[in-house]
Amino acid sequence: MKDFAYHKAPDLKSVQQLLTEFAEHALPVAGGSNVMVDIRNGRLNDRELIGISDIAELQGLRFSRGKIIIGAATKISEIAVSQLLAAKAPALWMAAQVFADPIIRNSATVGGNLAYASPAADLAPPLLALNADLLLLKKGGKRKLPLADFFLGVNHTALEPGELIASVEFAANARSAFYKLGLRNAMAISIATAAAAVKRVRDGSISEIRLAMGSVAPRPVRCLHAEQFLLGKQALHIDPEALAQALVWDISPIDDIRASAVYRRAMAPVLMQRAIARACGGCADEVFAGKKSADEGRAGA
Amino acid sequence: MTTLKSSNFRLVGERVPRHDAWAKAKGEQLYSADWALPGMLHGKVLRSKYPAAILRAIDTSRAKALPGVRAVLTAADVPHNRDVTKFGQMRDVGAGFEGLYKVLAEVGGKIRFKGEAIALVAADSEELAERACALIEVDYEPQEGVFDPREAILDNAYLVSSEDASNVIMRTRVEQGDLEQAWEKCHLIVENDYYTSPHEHAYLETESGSGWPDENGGITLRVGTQVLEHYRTIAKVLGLPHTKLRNMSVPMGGGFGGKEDITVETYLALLVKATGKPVKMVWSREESIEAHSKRHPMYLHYKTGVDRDGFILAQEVSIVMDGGGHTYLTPWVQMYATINGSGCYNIANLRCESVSAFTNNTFSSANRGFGVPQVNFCYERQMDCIARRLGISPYELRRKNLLRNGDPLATGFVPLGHVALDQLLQQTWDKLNQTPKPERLPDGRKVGRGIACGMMGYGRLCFLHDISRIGIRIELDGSVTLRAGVPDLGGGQSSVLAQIVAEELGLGIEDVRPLIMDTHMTPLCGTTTATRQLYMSGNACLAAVQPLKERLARKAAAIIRDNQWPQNPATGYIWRPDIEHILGHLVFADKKIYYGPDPGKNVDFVAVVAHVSNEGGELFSEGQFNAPFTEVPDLNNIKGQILPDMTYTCHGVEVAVDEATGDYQVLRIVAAIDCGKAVNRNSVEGQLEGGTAYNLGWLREDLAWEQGITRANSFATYLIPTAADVPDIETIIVESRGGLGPYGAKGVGEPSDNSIAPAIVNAIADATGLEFNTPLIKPETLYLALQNERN
Amino acid sequence: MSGTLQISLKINGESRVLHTAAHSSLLNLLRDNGYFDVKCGCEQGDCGACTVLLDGIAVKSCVILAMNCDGHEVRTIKGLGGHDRLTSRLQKAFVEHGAIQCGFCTPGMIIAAGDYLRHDGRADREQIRRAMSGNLCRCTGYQKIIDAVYEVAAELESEVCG
Ligand SMILES: Cc1cc2nc3c(=O)[nH]c(=O)nc-3n(C[C@H](O)[C@H](O)[C@H](O)COP(=O)(O)OP(=O)(O)OC[C@H]3O[C@@H](n4cnc5c(N)ncnc54)[C@H](O)[C@@H]3O)c2cc1C
Ligand code: FES
Ligand code: FES
Repeated sequence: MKDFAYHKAPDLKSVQQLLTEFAEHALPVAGGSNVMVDIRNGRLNDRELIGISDIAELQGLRFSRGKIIIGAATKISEIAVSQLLAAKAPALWMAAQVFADPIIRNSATVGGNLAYASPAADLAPPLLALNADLLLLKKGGKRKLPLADFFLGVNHTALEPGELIASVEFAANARSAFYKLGLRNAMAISIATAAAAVKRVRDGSISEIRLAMGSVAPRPVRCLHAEQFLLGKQALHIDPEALAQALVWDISPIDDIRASAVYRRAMAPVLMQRAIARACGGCADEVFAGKKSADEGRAGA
Repeated sequence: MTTLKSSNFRLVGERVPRHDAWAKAKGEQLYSADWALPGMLHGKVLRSKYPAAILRAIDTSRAKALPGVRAVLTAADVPHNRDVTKFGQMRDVGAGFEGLYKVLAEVGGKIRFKGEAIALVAADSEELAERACALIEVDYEPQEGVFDPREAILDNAYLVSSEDASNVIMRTRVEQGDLEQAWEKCHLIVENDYYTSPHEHAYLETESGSGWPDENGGITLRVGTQVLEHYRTIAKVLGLPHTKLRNMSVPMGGGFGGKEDITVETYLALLVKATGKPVKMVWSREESIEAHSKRHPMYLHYKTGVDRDGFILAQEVSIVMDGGGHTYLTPWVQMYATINGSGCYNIANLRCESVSAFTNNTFSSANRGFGVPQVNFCYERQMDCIARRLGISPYELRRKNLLRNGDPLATGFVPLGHVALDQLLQQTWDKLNQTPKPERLPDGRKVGRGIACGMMGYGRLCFLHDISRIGIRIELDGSVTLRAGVPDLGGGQSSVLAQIVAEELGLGIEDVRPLIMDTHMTPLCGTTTATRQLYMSGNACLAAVQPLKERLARKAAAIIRDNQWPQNPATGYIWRPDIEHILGHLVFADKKIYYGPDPGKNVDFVAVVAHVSNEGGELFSEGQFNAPFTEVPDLNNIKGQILPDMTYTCHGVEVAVDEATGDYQVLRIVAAIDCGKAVNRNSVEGQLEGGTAYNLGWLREDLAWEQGITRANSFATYLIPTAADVPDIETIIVESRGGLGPYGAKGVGEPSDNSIAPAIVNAIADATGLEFNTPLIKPETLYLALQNERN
Repeated sequence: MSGTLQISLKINGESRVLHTAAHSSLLNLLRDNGYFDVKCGCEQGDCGACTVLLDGIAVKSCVILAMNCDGHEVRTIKGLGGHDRLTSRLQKAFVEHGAIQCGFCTPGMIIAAGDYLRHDGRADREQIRRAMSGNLCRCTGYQKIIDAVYEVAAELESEVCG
């Protein structure tokens, strides 16, 4: 028997109040695209649902002093249509283009995507590659947490009871890109995803890079070994074998209904290479065979 | 009788909007779940958790004790829980299909697939009904089960059912010529094993409906079904006379064969009877996927021999079909697969043998194509393998061997209708190759092109003695009520009948109102299956409308003759042709009846109707059409006319393969069909496009069966193509006028989907050199095959 | 039932006060109250049959928490056809192009198409395919649906330019 209660939070103050009051029992509902499915399928029960979709302070994206700040309740569709993000954070913008489908994007939120902490959360790899921080709110306090420290496991995060994601922020990086492999061209949970943000390239060789992947581990992961390996390498002439070797240490894929671990392991360097190539100037398509989403890569880079 | 022929069509052949299109566009169409009555209860089915088990005991006491629960039924509460028929015994539809038909699993017997119904509940709310189901205690003794039909047919196999001594459902065979001799003459023999995967219909509307008690102990059902005539079986299960079980169907949100077997209707009738109240039942998506039939998975072996020039000398086919947990339509599907096994080619020496078996998988039954997509896939893959081995083009090889007018089918029967295969092949090939094929796309993907032909019957198996009947009544304002028990799945099955009547009577489609799908208020038209409605009910429509037309024409001729020939002013004499002459020249159009040679002489349709009515003439008519009737064939050697006629198709595709990931996209599709006559052009194209996308989906849709468990049981995991996965489809509609339907039309619904899957796999082979022998190719499959190739 | 809550919202221009469970989806709220023009094909966001406008934006109502819509405005296909010119044009194009077979996907498709065109969607078949990719259709192969949306998009473009 389904047993829930509902409380609408019209503003930040009330949501902090409600979250504190119900602590572990509280469950914020933003877009609802994860929560509603879990309720229907009986994976969630006996919770105090806190409606946060009307809180104005959690909405919208801003750009100030080189930083991009996105409210947690911002819809994926707002990211997908943002010219600003297309130019300044193409990795995130590209992820929004291939996220679910246009209608789900109209209600699904950034905060919900991160807080749900699916290994396949499409916004997580680009935001990890962009080295994003989360602004977390709690009654009587707030803290900043690097996104890299946020994901602890499948549906498991560093959020404390009563805590809310208020926003996510990161420095702009025009040389960032995303690549998704799914079983369909839309409405496809990722088989695997890769995001790359190239910080500096000197004489064609990489001097600072940040990489992340989705659906290849129990949580979205930064690929530190691969990053290390790539330093000093020519961005467009990466030895795929060697990249694969390095990535092995970063990922731990499993078999699931969408793909086998073997396939995911094989795809990791391919997708990563494509993300890097896209990030390094939109020349991905000439270098590597790409899917339709390559068009967006071009448009975004 | 004078036949009144309209030489120029007004409506037939046009892109006429369907009579129900606006209601659907506006959201006014009420489907099977869009219904509520005061005090309506909600029905739920408790289903087996295990694919194979012995049902030891059921305890419903806790469920019954729950307040708000109105009925909990098990097999013991069903008056006639079982029905057994033999193959071919029942000629009328809906009287129970071959083999054992069981409503609910019985204590002491075996559970045959996961999702088999065990108990029924009706309660005040859906949530309560669900809770009651959870409170029913079922004592299962899980069994090992058998999940591969090749194992199931072995002597020592686990027995799926407690009622049968063997898992074999049926064996059958078609044979012609002398195979052994022919092999010796072959220059090349190509032999392959194939596996075709199960396929889910995935209509957007799940199985739903409601039922309520009528006066005098009757029950009315309002459900979505392809087979209205199931009311007879339902009545039998309940022990009611046929007259007391009224089945009203409503336009369906798709069927594709999945609503051909009984779904919700018996359950609803039982719950209505038990509670005396209206009951509604709506299956969830997961329940739908787990509890209705699938396209038969098949294991096939093909051996094809050709001479030096590529002429096929011999082909031997053996098929093992997975019937799943219950018989349902397996024997009939098997007949289709067997007689079509050797393909749309002229082959003098052939043998096609098949066996079907029970397993503990979801049961198999009708699915758009009815056993043909599986064999079509294999014989068209064979053709490409042969072409590559001989070094001749796949086009050339097919052209040499295609069936042509006058050639016999595998059963020795020469099709009655026109055979347009060479024309379809030619046009498809030309269109596909209008531009030269690029080796690669600018993004590096490898390009391949492929082609495949197909053939499939329309109309039911002739030994089932198929009939359709239509009723027409002309109203006094000149509009027409068309009564037809035609289940409309969305293919425009009833709209096309309205179009035919409007065409014949010279009215607009808006003047004809179809009232459809009510067992006791509309004439029975037979099933909307087997691509038969246009053929059968279209002809019944013509049969019904002709006498009316004749009657109206006689009156019109008299009116025109009496009133519209001028007097010669000089002589005062009126010359007029005799009535038979006028009758022979009348044209029904624009709501008038014209004298063709001088259209100024005419009379309003409605005026004629008034005259006929005043004189007591009949303004209603019922017409019946009978398909060719044959006897049940010898299953060991099927011969003669098995189906009324065939429809032919061809598909050409271009694919791009991303070799690094194994992902592939279909870039272009050319789809060709000979529909005989496109009665509604939009509908013909729509069927062809829809059928094409349906089996394009077969290539990636994976139910992920694991020991009888369907892992992909929702739309989150069972992924059908989205708009972004289907390219533009370039259709070629050939109108040979050589069909057996009205105006020379052929059926198109199922044939549309057959040849696309092999065309795509042929294109993948062209791009990569990989010869897949299954339609199920996911990116991972392709990637791993490429890796294998490299190593 | 887990205690029913009161919710006020505007549906098709009419202010309604209804009752619902705390966890109910917008889809269930609508269908429980007789808005049968909103179809249900999967209940978990995967088919688009339940698409409605929420505050003028297309959403899949099965994955929207009904209570989150308290104080908001919902429009279903019945509340759009005849009132909204764009929807009426799309309906006409769907009817004339034969884009409707079983019609079960149609209300959602038309609302999704309207959402695309309202946001300056162009007459570009590839983009239209992407815009409609959250709405499944099993009958049509999408061809005639794309044709219909394309036609309206092209008309809109020529009206703006011409
Ligand atoms: C059909 C379909 C397709 C999908 N496709 C994709 C896809 O391609 N890629 C992908 O990544 N995801 C996909 N998803 C998953 C889902 O849409 C996303 O994860 C979405 O971003 C979740 O956002 P929401 O606002 O709807 O979350 P909700 O369901 O409202 O919430 C999700 C979780 O986050 C918590 N939460 C929400 N906001 C906050 C906050 N501000 N602070 C703290 N906790 C919060 C909630 O309590 C809940 O636990 C898909 C879902 C569906 C139904
Ligand atoms: S019912 Fe909402 S998306 Fe399928
Ligand atoms: S018309 Fe049937 S699902 Fe689209």
